Amino acid sequence: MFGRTFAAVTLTCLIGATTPTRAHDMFRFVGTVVKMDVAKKSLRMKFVENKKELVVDIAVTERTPIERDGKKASRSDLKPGLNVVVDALGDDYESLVAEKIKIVPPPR
Amino acid sequence: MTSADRTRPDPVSATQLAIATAAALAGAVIILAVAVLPAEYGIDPLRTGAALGLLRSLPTEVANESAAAAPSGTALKPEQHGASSKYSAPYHVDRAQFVLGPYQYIEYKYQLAQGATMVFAWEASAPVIHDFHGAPEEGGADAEVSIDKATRSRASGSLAAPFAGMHGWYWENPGGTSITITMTSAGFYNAAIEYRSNHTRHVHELARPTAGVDAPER
Repeated sequence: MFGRTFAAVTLTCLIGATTPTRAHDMFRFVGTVVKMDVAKKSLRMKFVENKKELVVDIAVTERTPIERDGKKASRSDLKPGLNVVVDALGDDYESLVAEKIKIVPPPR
Repeated sequence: MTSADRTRPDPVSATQLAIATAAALAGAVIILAVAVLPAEYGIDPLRTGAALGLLRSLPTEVANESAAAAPSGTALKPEQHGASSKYSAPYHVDRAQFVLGPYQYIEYKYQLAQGATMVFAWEASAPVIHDFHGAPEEGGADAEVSIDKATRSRASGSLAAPFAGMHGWYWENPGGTSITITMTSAGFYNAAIEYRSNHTRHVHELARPTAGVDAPER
């Protein structure tokens, strides 16, 4: 009995101590679509940051609004090579969820 | 002994429970100091974060921000004397220029005490989505208050801070061509921070007015 109580209290404290209390950060990515995996609901895009080309994978949920020319678009519209602006929430570039995706004309 | 007595577990004494709670709390505090603080907040009191490779590297600019953004006592708080306000330190002047890449945004904010004033003017090379807003010291992003929101290419005006906190501009480039924004201001602020869309922050140095700079040309 004592062992179970000890384990339960310990587990509760550990979960409390290790759960991050920080809110997610909002990131904006301006780049091009590498691949939209509709089955995995994951968008891979590339962009340039500090003169380096980077690639990130961003989760795209059913609730993520996708827009093109001010009209609603779908995940299947995210074709490779298209220019996109993605606002995504996450702690870092490894854990991103898209909040909003806009298909835009290429930068001039 | 009844069957109920055989199945009932031994009761735990208050002392045992207290020991278990204290041990669990001690364990949690150790984990907090060893792993969570270094990984999540870049605070490494036991140097274990660096040793274990957990230390979150915060940009220098962000580290500087907390010092720069911290209100410096009552130095820039207004003291009301009828229609005028007095401050115990001179105002700051600032001039900044930003280049907004295609579809990028930037925020530029000053730390102001409640009631502290500033004047400003900014101009962009093309219309930008603009939101002049304030964020109270307490309450976080959810407590932000929009003061003036529009798509335009210039604005000028003044502000008496409605609350203590960061006050300034959000500018977003809505198009595919880079836009340059130039802004000047003067006021009783004590920090200027630039927030970029790639989530980096840069503290800007502020200047004090000098007779040579502020005197009108003759």
